Amino acid sequence: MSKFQESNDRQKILEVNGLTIQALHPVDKTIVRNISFDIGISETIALVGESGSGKSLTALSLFGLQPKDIQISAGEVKFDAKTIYPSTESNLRALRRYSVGFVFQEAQSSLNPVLSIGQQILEVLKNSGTAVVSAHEEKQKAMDLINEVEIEDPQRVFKSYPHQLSGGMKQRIMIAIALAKNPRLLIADEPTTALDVSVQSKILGLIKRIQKRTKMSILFITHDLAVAFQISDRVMVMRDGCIIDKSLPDSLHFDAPSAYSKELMNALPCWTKREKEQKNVSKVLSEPIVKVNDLNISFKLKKDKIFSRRKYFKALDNVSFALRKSSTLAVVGESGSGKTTLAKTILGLCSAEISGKVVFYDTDILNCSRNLLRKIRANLQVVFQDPISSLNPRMRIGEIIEEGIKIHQSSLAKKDIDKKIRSILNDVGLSFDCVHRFPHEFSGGQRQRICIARALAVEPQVIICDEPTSSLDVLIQAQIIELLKQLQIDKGISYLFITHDINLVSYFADDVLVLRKGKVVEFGPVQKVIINASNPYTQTLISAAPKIPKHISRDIE
Amino acid sequence: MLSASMQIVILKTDFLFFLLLAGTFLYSLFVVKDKQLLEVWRQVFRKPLAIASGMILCFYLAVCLLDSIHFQSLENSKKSQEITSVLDYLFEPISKQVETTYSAPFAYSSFVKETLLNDDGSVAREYPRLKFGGSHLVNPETDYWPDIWISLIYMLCVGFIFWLVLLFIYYFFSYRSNTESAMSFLNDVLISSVSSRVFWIALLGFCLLFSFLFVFAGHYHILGTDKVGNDVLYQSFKSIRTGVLIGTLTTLLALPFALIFGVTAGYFGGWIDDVIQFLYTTLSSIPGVLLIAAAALMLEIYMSKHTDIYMSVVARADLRLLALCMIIGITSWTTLCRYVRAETLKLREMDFVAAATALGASKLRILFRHVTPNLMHLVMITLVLDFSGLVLAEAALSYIDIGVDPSMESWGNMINSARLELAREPVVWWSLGSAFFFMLFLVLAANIFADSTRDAFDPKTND
Repeated sequence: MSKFQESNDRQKILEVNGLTIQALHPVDKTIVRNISFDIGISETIALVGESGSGKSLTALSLFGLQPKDIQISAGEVKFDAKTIYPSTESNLRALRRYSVGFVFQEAQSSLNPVLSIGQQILEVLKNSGTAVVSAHEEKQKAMDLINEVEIEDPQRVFKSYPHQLSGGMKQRIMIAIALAKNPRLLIADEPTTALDVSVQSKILGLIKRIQKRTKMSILFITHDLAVAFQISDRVMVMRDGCIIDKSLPDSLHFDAPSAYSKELMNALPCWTKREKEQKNVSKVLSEPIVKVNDLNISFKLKKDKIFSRRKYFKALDNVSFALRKSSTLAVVGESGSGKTTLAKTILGLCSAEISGKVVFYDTDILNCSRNLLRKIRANLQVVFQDPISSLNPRMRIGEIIEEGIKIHQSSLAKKDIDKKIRSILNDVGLSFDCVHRFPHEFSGGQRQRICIARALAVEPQVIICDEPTSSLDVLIQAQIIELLKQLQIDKGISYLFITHDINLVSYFADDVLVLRKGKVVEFGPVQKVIINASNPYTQTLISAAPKIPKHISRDIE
Repeated sequence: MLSASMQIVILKTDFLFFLLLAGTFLYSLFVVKDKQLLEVWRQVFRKPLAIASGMILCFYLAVCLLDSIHFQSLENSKKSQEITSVLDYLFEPISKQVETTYSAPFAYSSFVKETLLNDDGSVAREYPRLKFGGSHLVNPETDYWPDIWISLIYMLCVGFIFWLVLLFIYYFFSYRSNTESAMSFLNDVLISSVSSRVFWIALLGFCLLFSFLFVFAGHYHILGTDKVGNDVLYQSFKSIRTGVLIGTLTTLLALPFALIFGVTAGYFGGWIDDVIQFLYTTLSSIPGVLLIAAAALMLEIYMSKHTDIYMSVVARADLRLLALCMIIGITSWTTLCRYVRAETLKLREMDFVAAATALGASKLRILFRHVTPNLMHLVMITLVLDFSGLVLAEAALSYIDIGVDPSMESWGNMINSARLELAREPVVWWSLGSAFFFMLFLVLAANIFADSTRDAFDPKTND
């Protein structure tokens, strides 16, 4: 096994040998099988895998943070040349207290909502066992930490509470808290997955800079190959509890990548992949199906005094564009740029001060009668980002899909409805026997398929997709995109595709609308806007997206 | 016997209770038709605790039902204002066996010493023999224990034989066609399946309980007698109806208010929300006890002015019970309403509601199909907790004399009348004790049963 031999010139901070993890409840099951790896001092290792591959569990179990029913059953773990498994809980606790820092995906739930940021950092400082210092010094130290994670206005942040900060800020605070104990090893469990691309690239840059300064090692867990290659010194690919691929010592190159890694690599959307697939397909420019003209949306803000003037927050400012028939229009922008508001307005779900026109064929959706709107709604459907909250947990799949049919074709007989549901489920790649099951019995990807099926049931001409794949694994994402593409070809559906993933845009979209703080930055065909980007803002968006270096992708393919 | 001269009387609460039972029956018909729903309920009854507590609940409901079928004798119409129930009829010998005062459970002599005139003319202070309790004993000092033991063995035999008969009937109907031996049947029923084992063991318990009542109740006062010599066992059984009715009717009266107001406030928001919030905040800041006391007094005055309408004691007590249910119901919907409103606010923003709107679903449809079903777990938990709370609240209210009519048997009245005797030495514990245990079993069974029902209905927990 020459390919798994690690170089010995680096000193090791963590060594794992033959680690096996077992679940005891509800059934005995091996979750992680005989994995071995090590991390050198000031080295970054990325652990890549789909959800359920056991990557997070591995990291948690090393330091005794796994759920109760799960146990390490075999193997040896050494931290800084000292054995920590088998070991006692108090040893592990000391280790967690002084030497290992953790950053998790959900900064929101990792921070205590009733304590101010300052209090939470001070608490860690007090516990991390540094020499007793005065309250003033301690506060100074906390300020230094906040400064270290490059937050503007640290005074304000110190006093504020978690809900007053944005997602990226919260993740920075989590990093600051992890840094408070001067960790020798930082475990980062998908720290950027919930963030949008430009924030993600900033956080990744921050982590790298801190690492350079403090010489800590990082175990970076992610499902995103591109992020993994961007941040780490070495990459390991995990699947079903086994490490199936390791890059060569001190490099990102794979000696003989497995089929799975190749598949992961190929699943990544990008322009070149698109070019490969549709060499001979040239699309005819079709006429617009939805036109948006001078759309302005503003939300009322609460008055601070009774007689003060009402203030408005402008979510969309003079937005105009057109969605062409059976094509895909991608709406790109950072979070807070008004993408979702735009989607809701087109669906007629937005209750704010609206001016402008949204024209579907010849009808203005914003100013038409209720009955007409209800009829038009069948043509405009939606697929949301969160596959959990977008399906009613108390309804069976059959009921969910037939609801639209019942509303718009109430005269249809039960037999015909069943037939229709069968064909729709077939279209989205699900079998008919799932109609009696509840949403919670399905995985995220399957739920998105169900959402698509629900939209398809009323035979829409436009489907608005609000980041439908951003919470899915790479392979599943590729499958869903493939499904959407196929449906477009079969049924001529147009998509308004909201996303912050530029790679996906260049793979999937025909036109692109770039939004920034409610204003249109650019609107045009994808070749012009993304591939040959000229606008500076669009360029920063593109450069923020993680990319796999060319030599490595060639290496794997 | 129920002769032709008897006329069925349906009191107001009876009517509501029957309505409730009919609703339950219709629901069970609906369940049997729907395969998935049936499977969920099967799941409920696979849990040993749920089976046992369900059986206890059924027992209470059955007693309540028996006590809710009232009839009135048409003969000598002057005297026949008295309305009695089937339960009264079943308990007739016991309810009529009134002693002079307190007597302990299974006693054959009174609890209180009396001055007695002996045959020879001398006067003695001693415990007199009871008129009915243990009256079959010729020489109580020597016969008492043998009688108890013999009856106990007799009762065990009867109960066990009755249980075996039930087991045999089950075997006869479900396994008759099966060629396999009786041993395998026993194995199936009592050993291999936990749920069926629990069922049969609980049934054995009930059989023994019934045979115990059957054997002893005629000869002794099993739970003693109260101050005026009434049988406490009979009182406790009569109180079941009061407790169950207060628990169920009140929650049923409160439920529509809570659901409708809560959902509309949460879903529509704006001024509707403001009005409803104002309403329940005001209502919940009025002290409930005062409101109930005021209502009870007003009703009493009303009824004493209109004696012609409410002539019989039972009908009056019944009206007072209904009024109590209503007034508690009106004051107690606020908590649930608050929960429902908060949950609706959350659900309103969920993506599936937006998706339904995008499909063109009407507001009503969204409320009924998407919002309300997702509130049901909340409603279920609150209702059952309320049920237990209400059974207990009835006791508390009767204790301070603003609860049910004093002429109506209820656990609260039992406790109320027994409280002074707690200071006595030796203590008179049986009234209080039986009220306590009857309440405990009802509330505990309801809580356990609701817990497992909720678990089975929550789609997230039944994987």
